[in-house]
Amino acid sequence: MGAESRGALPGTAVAAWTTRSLAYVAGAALLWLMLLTVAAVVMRYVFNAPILGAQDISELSLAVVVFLGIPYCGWTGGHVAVDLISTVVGESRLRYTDTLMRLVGAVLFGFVAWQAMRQALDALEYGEATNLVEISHHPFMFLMSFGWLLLAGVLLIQAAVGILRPQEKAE
Amino acid sequence: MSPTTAGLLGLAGLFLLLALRMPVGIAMMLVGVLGFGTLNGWGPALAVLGSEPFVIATNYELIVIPLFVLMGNFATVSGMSRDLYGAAYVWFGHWRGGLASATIAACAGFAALSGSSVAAAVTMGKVSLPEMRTYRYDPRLATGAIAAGGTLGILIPPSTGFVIYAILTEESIGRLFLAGVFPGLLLTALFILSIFIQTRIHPDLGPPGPVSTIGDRIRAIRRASAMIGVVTLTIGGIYAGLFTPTEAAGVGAFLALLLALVRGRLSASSLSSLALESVRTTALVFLILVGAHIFNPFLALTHIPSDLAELLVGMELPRLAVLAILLAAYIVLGMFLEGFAMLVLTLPIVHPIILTLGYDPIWFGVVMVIVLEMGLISPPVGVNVFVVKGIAEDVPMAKIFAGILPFWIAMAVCLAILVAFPEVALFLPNTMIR
Repeated sequence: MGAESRGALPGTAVAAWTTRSLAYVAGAALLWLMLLTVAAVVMRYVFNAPILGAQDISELSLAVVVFLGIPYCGWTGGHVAVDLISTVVGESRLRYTDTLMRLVGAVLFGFVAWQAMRQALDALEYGEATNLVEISHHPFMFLMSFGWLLLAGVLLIQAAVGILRPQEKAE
Repeated sequence: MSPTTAGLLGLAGLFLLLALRMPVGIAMMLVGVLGFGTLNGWGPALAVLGSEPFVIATNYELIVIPLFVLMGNFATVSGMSRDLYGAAYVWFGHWRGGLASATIAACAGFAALSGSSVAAAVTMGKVSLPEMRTYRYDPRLATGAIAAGGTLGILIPPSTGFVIYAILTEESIGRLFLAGVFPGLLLTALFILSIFIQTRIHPDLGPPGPVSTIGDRIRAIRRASAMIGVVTLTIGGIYAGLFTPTEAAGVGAFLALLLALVRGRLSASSLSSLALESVRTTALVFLILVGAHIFNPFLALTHIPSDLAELLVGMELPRLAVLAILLAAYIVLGMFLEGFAMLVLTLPIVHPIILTLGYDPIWFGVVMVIVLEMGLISPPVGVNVFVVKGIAEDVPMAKIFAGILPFWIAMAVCLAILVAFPEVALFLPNTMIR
């Protein structure tokens, strides 16, 4: 690149690091989910003593995998899209519509995060919890809200990169 | 606004957003909430945005998705694909076109560990393509076999396609998995038959490989036996009623992890990249599921799916004709749409039609997945074709598509057999122990 090459936008490094770190947490939760499932099976068949609440714990672990994974998937461009238009219109012209779609998506996930937060606050107020062993729902709902907010942030940064640094691609 | 008008506007908006490359899950969430808000008020619509994702992300049955993804990734790392190919190679290699048949057989084996067609095509392609090159296989046959064999990934259980179908139609994941077993074996046999016929007509396509000794064959089977054990335990366990699909997935993933460990294939870096990859796949599937669960209630409110079903039934066409139209439409759609996207976008409309016509929804799930497979290898956007192109860069696309055509015909034959004899799919689920 020549002298005109500008540095990466400040947000990109932060987004890459944050989403990736959280994806590692999600990966750990996934491995834990596997071990818990195996342990539940072994306890039931071998020791005839099912783990109390294994299902409750598994379900909430899944939420950790999903909501910490979604921003990473968004940052690495993993969410499934239908790409037919690029065979007709050039990539360079598509960056405007791509940016628009990302901005719309960011607004949507702002709303989603807000609603998730309301859910979490309701759950906290009414003491919602899992069935068998009482694990509170609200921390996981806050996590959900955080995941959506992060996805909104990822989309905003990608929109900025697409317009200001069209030659770069996010990760 | 009348519900039908809102529905048609919503569908038009959805297609516009999809055409402008908005991810499928996001577009469905957006249109779903706007449509639901218009018809049922904004308070409930917004509340759904908060509650529905949590319901899906804490659904016990859906744990099957990340666990089977994990199992497939551990299986890939453990080098099992090489063993599978090795075993098939020493048994079939000396036939005409035998290396291509070995590729198909090994893909079928790998499919029983992995629910992803792309993963099957990538791992098997890397192992088998160099071998077929050494024996001067026509690149047409070589690439066609890899692309087609890879598609078995979503038919032979575990299969992400079946899980998504099951969740959207409220069918049993376990029964759908079992329904995929015999059609998967049938399609494998048809692929091999197709190679047999092709090389009979054009012997240059795939010259015979070396003959292996009995000792080699037994040793190869023994090396692949670990994988056979994992598959028997997981799928057999579901059939015998020992495990729920989620439990089978957990046990299968754990065994695949142990295998990778024992073989010394698991390093800290491979474990972490494998975990990231599994998380990424999980996230993309769940975002689509969330989108579907926000969009589909809106679509149901518009009555469009039920109206369409009534319209079709009112036309009093023979039900086979309706099925033929649906399948033809899917084959065409499959040329342009990604498989999961097609599944979530069409099922809310097609599923009621299938039920009204009196078809078994489990059977239709299998039929759908085969049609999705056809889409994976159809021009212009067949995903597996691009995967194979990535491995065999020097082979022109036109040649790969030409090589795929005979396999595509084999799939059509498989579909016809399934329509004529639904028992092929339904025998196992109807006899499973619950």
